[in-house]
Amino acid sequence: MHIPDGFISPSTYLPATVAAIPLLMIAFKKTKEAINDESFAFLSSLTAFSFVIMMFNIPIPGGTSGHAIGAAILAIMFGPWVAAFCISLTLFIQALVFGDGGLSVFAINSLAMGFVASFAAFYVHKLLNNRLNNSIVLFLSGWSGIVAASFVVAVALGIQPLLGVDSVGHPIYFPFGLNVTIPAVVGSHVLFFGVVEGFATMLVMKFIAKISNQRTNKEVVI
Amino acid sequence: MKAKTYLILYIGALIAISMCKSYEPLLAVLAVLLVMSGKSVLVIGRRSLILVALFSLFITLSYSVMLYLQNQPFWNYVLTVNLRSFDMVFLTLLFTARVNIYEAVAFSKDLSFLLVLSVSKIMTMQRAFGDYTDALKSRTLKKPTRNQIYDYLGSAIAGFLDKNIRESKENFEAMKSRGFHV
Repeated sequence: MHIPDGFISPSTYLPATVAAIPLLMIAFKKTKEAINDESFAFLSSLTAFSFVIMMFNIPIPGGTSGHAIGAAILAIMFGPWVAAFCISLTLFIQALVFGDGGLSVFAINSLAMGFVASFAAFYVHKLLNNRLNNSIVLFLSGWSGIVAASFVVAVALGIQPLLGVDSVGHPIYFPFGLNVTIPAVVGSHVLFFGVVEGFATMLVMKFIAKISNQRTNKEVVI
Repeated sequence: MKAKTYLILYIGALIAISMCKSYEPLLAVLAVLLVMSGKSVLVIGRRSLILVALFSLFITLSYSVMLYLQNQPFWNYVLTVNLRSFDMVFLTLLFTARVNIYEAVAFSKDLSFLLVLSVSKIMTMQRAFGDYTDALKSRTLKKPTRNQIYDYLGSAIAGFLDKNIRESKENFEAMKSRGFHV
């Protein structure tokens, strides 16, 4: 879902950067408050985790596979602000240290994959928790986070033909309008990448619950 | 101080390149970047090409085919968008190769420190991920079933999370014992 440099006009990414900076500052402040004095070591660990989760290839029924971003896992475990900050920091590191993703579009990627995905996943989980089967709730949290993020990316890409054209009227940034980006980007996330994220959220959260139960039982026995 | 100046220049150049609406100035920018990169030209050029190619070529080629089928000129679009994307990626890679990023973001003590810690942890995790994958391959004789793959993925990702959280506590204690308080 990363948007690379060069496809988004300055009239889109500059306002997005202005919007993202205060949000990131609030996220950083809230994260530090939430995790107290161990914050820096803990934050860097979660950032490394969100980087590493993107390296796992997760197969889904149908014969294909993809990678998750881990927004729902972090949001459910540590809250949406912590998740948004860690994913944004991962995207910043990918853009500036590893040259992947692009610094000019960092704000849009951060708003979509960091903030929108984390908050959507967190609130879907909060809304559905204890109302449906736990596996379904976890799957839907991961799926809805990534689908919501893909909608933001689709809009950011789809408005580009309206914002920049050359002398003969051809687009000079991303060429396809909303009529193409919404079904292509959101559709692929509804059917594929959302399923990958949902599966990853379900597998990891269930495993964490399993090892937590084992630890609790062991402590009781001891 | 020098790194911070370079960061400001880099951001300014990135915005200026993103504003270019035709391929002629982008070609001139590319020539300047190639000269500036010196001996690293091939390494940075190859990496930029890999990073740009997948998304850029897919999008611009599909749009160009559409324009071609409508008998409309498409070269200007193909060159402008691909060159802009390539120039911006090349500039970023050149910047990261020549400038100390941690020094460049040192205007914020918190950000600079967090960046150093996170990147070092990411590198450790990348190595651990490689070892983990190799270990699994060397111990797997038969093709695993889908359920076995899901069990492995759940345990591996949760294992990495557990490892990260445990290590963060150790790191914090180590930092505290060395008098580092943030």
